[in-house]
Amino acid sequence: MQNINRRPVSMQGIEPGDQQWELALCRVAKGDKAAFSALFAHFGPLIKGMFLRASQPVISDAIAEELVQEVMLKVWQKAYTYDVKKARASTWIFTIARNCRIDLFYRKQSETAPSINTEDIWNTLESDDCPVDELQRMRSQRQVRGSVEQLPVEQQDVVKRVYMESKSHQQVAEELGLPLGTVKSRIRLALQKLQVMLVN
Amino acid sequence: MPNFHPDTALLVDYASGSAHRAQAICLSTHLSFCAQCAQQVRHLEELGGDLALTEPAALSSGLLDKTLATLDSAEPPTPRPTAQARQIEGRTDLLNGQSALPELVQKLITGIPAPAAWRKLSNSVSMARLPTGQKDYEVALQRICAGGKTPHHGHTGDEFTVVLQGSFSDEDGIYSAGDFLYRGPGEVHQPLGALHEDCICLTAVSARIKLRSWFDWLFAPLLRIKPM
Ligand SMILES: [Zn+2]
Repeated sequence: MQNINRRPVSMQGIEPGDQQWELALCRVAKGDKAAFSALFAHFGPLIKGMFLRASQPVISDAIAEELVQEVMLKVWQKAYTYDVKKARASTWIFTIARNCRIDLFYRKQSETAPSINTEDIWNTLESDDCPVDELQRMRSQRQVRGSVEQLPVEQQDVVKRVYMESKSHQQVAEELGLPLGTVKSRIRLALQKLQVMLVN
Repeated sequence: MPNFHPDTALLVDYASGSAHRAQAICLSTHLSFCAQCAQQVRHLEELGGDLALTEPAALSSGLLDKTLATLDSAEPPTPRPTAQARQIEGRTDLLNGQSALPELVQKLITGIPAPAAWRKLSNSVSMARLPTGQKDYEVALQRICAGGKTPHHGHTGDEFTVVLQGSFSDEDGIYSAGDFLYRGPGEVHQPLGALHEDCICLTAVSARIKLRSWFDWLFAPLLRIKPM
């Protein structure tokens, strides 16, 4: 394999409140409704915001709230599978919300029921054989957002369309009237600067 | 560990949830062979959490109470069976043994009606279509016999391939278990099976394959795309 660049190790970037939601999730796993309410108050509006900005499917405010309930119910039911060593709370909740959005998209397309479901395909939460980079959960969201703001405008734009509007790189290329290769290289450059590229 | 990987933009599409279902099936299959890309996806998902969960939209009052009220009546979480218990009974009519097939592929195989098995496309290539609940790509298992030669063909659409067992080669390299290949519109290639072993691949093809010579047209009706 090519050289794998790991981020330099440092425990100094951890803010006092960084583990707050991780701890809350661990309490939810034990059936703690107060912890659940706190998670709901924090993540509920963020999940709704994510669904409302997503381009596929485009959904109403009411459906967005139904989805928030669906996601938070899954959080309640799956919390016992949450492993604080494997993911930050925001990452874990993001993947659940993402899968609910994908589900809705395919439900809307009214295809015949396949023998597999979204969680069989987007199954990253359950792959337990994958070695985990201890460092990846150490960076705070604030740091990451800060570095996105530092990117050149055209890279920022692509990254935001991809993650905040959940568009594929092909859709972004069509939207911006750019060759696919240009969009791909902007994504790569942005990821390198954000230090999430493992291989160069 | 595989030698051929999906490009980063595709992994981003997978992590952000915008990849097409058929692409995601191929990507997910590659991830189960490739710790490196799996790790990359984890980082990309983390970025997703950091970027997608940032701008709150106010919830209507009472949504929390409504949700709390559903918690107790909700189905209790069912612990997932352990990896070993999850092994789905092998469909030995389809594959030569079940050497470490990814769980997703095993599930896809169970979706095939029993007698369907392999359809011969030519002397050296057969395929088994997999139902995946979408119509844009034809997802299938393809088997290239040991020493088999496939028709020289070009593409009018996208073709994603993940090698599951054995190996094959073309003008650009030798591909073995876990390797991920993408061929875009206009690219022409001629896969050749390895000499001593059948090769089985998972493929997703987006449009009708264009064949090159008049001779290849003999096979054309067999290669026509019929998504399930
Ligand atoms: Zn890989």
